[in-house]
Amino acid sequence: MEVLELDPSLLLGVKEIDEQHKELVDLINHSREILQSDQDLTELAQIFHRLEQLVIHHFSAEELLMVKYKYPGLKHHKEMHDISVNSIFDLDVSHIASDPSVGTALVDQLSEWLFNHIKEDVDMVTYLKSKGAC
Amino acid sequence: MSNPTSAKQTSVSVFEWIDTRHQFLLDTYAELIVTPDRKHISRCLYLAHQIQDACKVNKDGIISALQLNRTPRYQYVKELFAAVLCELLGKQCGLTSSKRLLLICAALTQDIAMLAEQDSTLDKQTTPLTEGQRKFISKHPAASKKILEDAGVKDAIWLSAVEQHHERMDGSGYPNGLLGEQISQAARILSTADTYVAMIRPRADRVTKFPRDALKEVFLVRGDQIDVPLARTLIDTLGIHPPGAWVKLANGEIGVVTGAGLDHPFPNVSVVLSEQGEHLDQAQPRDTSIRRNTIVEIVPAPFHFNLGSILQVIWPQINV
Repeated sequence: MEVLELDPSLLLGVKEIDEQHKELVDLINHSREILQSDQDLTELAQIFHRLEQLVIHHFSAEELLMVKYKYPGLKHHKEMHDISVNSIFDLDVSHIASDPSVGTALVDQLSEWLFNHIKEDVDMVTYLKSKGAC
Repeated sequence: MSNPTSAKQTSVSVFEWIDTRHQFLLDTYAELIVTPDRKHISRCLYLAHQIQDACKVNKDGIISALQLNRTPRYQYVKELFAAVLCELLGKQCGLTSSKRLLLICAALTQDIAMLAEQDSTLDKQTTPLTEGQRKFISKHPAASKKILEDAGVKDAIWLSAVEQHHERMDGSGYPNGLLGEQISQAARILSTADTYVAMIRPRADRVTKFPRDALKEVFLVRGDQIDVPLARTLIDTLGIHPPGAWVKLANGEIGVVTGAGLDHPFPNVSVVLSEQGEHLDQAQPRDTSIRRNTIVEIVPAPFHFNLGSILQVIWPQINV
């Protein structure tokens, strides 16, 4: 999977959320660099711990904005967030250092997750911009 | 209990500190139920002060001791644990220390009207609740508030937290089905603390969760049952791997989380089993931001021939 880039149309103009999206993209891209450069793969586990904390902050921030501006797709969007929380918290990193295929599978899974998350955010961003959230 | 102003100051381990507070709480309950008056209410406030003071100097040790204390003898550790979390969450929410004291008191007395039933039946029952039990439970917030009012409590923070601690953000709670900000901030904080503690304490009708799994579950009910910012604040306060949780490191060692590290996702850990599974004579500190010490797995409490003694000296003692 290629390097992920954050489409400028997804920039909301809300500093906190824009920075979180950028940080998510950077974390996943950094994970792929680690896989490709034969570094110690335990660093991937550290990145996943950062990711856990980041998604908690990111989803909370998005949902508070959606509630504030009465986004009609909040329920569905939160359900998507919940699926992501389950996926990320359930990542098994116990064999990440001893088996490179584990790292590859996890990074592929996360890349796909982030791609889908950002795609899901398009409608929300459009709505929030129309409501003057930024 | 000796008067703290006249007693010679000594220090005790965090486990001993919890034991003593637990016994003090048991005695307070016994007396408060029989004689609801100001004298016994002042015991709650005294205990709340002790909790607040101890949290200032050793919150990680106290949370660890509460997490690691798992014997059935500690039937009211849930209330103590919730009280400590209320202090920490309340502080994060910007509540003053005097308001937090009342919130701690609410956590300690939230179920005062059903302690006997909870202890003798509900906590041990594996079958579904009967209709009579449901009715009894649905009335306990108001009944608890009534006991406190009879004892002379007038503080709105304390009373509202007790009366509303089973209300839920989406209106699905009881007794009044309040919605969102109709629920007092104190009650929302107490409800968040309670929901988490209920998941990690042993109970007959459900499996005890690892702290990390419980935090995830609390986060999953954000917006519906729990206030979104409070669900996030709970995780920020405890960390994804809270103090007292057992973990395996990338190097194969097994240890207990002792507190937040310098970088939030990477707590400090004290290992008690070596990479080869050897029982260490004393716990060895590990910084999990170093790669070889990265946390890679959540594990149950390990067997170690001298675990109790080793744990006693990991956290600083508390002056009493």
